[in-house]
Amino acid sequence: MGTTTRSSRRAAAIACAVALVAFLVVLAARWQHGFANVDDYLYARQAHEFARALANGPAALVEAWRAFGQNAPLVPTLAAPLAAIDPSPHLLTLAQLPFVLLLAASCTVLLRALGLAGARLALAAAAAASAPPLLAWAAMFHFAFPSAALTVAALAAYMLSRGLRSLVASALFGLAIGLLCVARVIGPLYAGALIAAVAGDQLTRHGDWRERLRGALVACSSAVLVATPWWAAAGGSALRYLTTAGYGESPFTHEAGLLERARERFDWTTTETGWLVACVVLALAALGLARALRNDRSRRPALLMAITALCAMTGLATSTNAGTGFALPAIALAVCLAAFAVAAPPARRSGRPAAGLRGLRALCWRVSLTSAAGLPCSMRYLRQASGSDRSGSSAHPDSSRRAQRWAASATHLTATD
Amino acid sequence: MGCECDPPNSDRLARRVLAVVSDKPTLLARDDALLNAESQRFAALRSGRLAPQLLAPPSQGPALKDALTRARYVVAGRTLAPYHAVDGWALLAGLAKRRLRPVFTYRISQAKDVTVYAAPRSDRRSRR
Repeated sequence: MGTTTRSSRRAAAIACAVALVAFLVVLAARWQHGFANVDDYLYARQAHEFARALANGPAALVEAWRAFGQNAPLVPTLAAPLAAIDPSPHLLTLAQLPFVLLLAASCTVLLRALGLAGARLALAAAAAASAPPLLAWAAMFHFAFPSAALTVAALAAYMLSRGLRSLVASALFGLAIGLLCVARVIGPLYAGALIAAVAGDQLTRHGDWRERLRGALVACSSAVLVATPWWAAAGGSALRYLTTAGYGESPFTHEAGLLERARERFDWTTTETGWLVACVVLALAALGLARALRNDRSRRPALLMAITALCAMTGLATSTNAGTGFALPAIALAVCLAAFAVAAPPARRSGRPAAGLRGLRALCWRVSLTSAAGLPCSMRYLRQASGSDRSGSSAHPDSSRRAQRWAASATHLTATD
Repeated sequence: MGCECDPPNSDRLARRVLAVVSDKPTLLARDDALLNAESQRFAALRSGRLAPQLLAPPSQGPALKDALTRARYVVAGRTLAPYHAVDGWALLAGLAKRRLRPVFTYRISQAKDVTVYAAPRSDRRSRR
């Protein structure tokens, strides 16, 4: 075992441990409040039905998949054994644990591909995997976090495959893509973004085309093998849901031009992430990208990450459905680039720009540490994610107030929490 | 939430509302992240009761009138971020016309609360 590999494994282990602790802290905050969101309840019912179906065999499970055809099956199926014990969404959130670890390990691989090593790699991966905008979603029984983790994992597997030359890593890449397609109904959009970025990367590579073609075939086969059973069973209703809730007449959509949609998507994503954190992550990601592009080794991985995020955001901008955590895979990649910007060793160039860069990095470290310290308080994100900011539909506060006044005048039982 | 307060216990609220409406036809005229159709269905699942017959909240007009006529209970109240926009004027008029009376109120914050209205007893009896 080489020293580099051993050091990377140690970095991955540290990142996993830090992410695990941070996840447990956020989970404890959630359990303390006993607050669950509409999606938490829906998916908890789904997991409960899957648990009952699993007891009756695979045919019953396929029927249950069909019954919940609008919702992807991966997370509720994974949580089904827990749901057999207790269907509470608070307990089922533990099903996010493998995805927390997967994200931490994948961040390590991506950051290593960008050129980080040793303590810098461990710190950057730990910071990226436990970033509050990501971890807040892991504290919900929701599909956004697994989708983000699988998107990062797919890119990490692609990096490990050395451009699809390694068959095992190519199979893992395909597996991640397949799982992504069944992790969230909108998953194929993220898979499309990944495939577009990887296709671009492949077209700019030279030599070994037979090996790479073999790797591509292995990746396609494993993706199809994993994703086909559910899409064959429930794909019809999933596609119907995607088109009606995404583009048709629905409470979640409205008429808007393409530019307006893009602006709304950006606005919604920054609101979900929190404006201050979003600005810092975006600035750092741009800085990380700029730094990575200067280096031959890190250019390809950085471009892959940036193009995947950009394609995903462009795809999302075609719909006016704001959704919940739709942009999380892109945010996860941006967080990785941001972590690289902060942790990368300074360029060996003397002069004023380098000094300015050091100052900016010092500032970013402070902001990052501040937001990391605020992790236990990330219930704020939970609240945001849970829809208290879901202002897509218009309220009628005046009329409600009148109704309330009328109600107050009558005799009734009052309960206050 | 309309306040700098901790998120309330949504499980408990759903259970309390379910205890009032039981499995009777209920118009959910107020739904948000805290109280919604899914939380009601889940509360029923947890407690082993029959799920309430929830009527989808029509925004306004004859559909709202029709839903109010069919509903035994109406879940209303104030929320800052409703999932469905309901015409509050029409709802208020419908509640008064049908003589529905508040039987349960849950105060979440200054700007958020839940009120369950019930049809008059005679009306309820005639529907059995």
